[in-house]
Amino acid sequence: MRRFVRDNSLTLFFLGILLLALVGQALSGWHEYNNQALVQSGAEISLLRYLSSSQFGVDVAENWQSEYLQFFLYIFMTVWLLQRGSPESKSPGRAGEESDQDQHVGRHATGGSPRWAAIGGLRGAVFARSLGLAMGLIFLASWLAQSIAGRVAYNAEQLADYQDPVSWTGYVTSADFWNRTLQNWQSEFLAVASMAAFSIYLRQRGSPESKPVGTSHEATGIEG
Amino acid sequence: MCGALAPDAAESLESGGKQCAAQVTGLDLGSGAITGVQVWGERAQAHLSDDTVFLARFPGGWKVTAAGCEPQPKGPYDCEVEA
Repeated sequence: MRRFVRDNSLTLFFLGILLLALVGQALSGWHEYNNQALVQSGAEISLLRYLSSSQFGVDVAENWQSEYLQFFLYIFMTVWLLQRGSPESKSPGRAGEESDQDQHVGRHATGGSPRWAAIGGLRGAVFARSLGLAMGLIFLASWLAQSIAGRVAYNAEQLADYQDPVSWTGYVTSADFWNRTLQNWQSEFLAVASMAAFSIYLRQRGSPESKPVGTSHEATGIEG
Repeated sequence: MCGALAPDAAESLESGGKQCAAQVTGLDLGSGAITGVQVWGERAQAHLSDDTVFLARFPGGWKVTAAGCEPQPKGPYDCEVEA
């Protein structure tokens, strides 16, 4: 058990603070929802009802989609695009999907290679892009969930303001949908650009996200 | 009728010493058949053959937050009674 925790401490830590943050979001969102309901001459609802509400759903989904979009783009873009001096980037001249030999696929697979890396074909091609595809699919699912839950929450607001509800297509072309979407996207894109650029000149001793402290600013694709 | 109103809507009708029940009879509120209902979260809208009403879910059931509502070219409905 202790070994399992030590071997997986990075994932476990982030899952733990995810749960804590979700609990905090649920409680603060519930109070905010009830404050707003009273202002709009409605009634307060229970925490359980809030947790199953579209308002909570859209607030969760809009952040999830942007995080998964960030990782999807980062994984795919770093195949082709470079940042000289950044440990987040491949070395100049290595842009692209690289050779089978470099990637240990097909007949270049080793004894420890995953089975799908060795068999090639469609399964091999999918497995070779499975990390980015998984991020991309979760992004699309979360964005779709945001649009569905967001429409319900938006229409409830419309009715509280004595206005007609809108269709799904009306919602996904609305200012509310794109404001929620783009305010999340811009912060993710800023964070990625900052990480790629800051890591050229700044160091974090012991972190694989950084170059070793004494490594030159010009060195690219070297992780600590 | 007043019992079906949300508290704020009923209160909005109590002015000049007159109670809701006395005021509500003088309003042009619909009583026709329901032609359509939409429920979104804790809110709903019901179209009657001669009116549109807005409702909110309360612990005791649905209550009318606005009635006698006419759609406007832009913006919210214009309602005879609203919370």
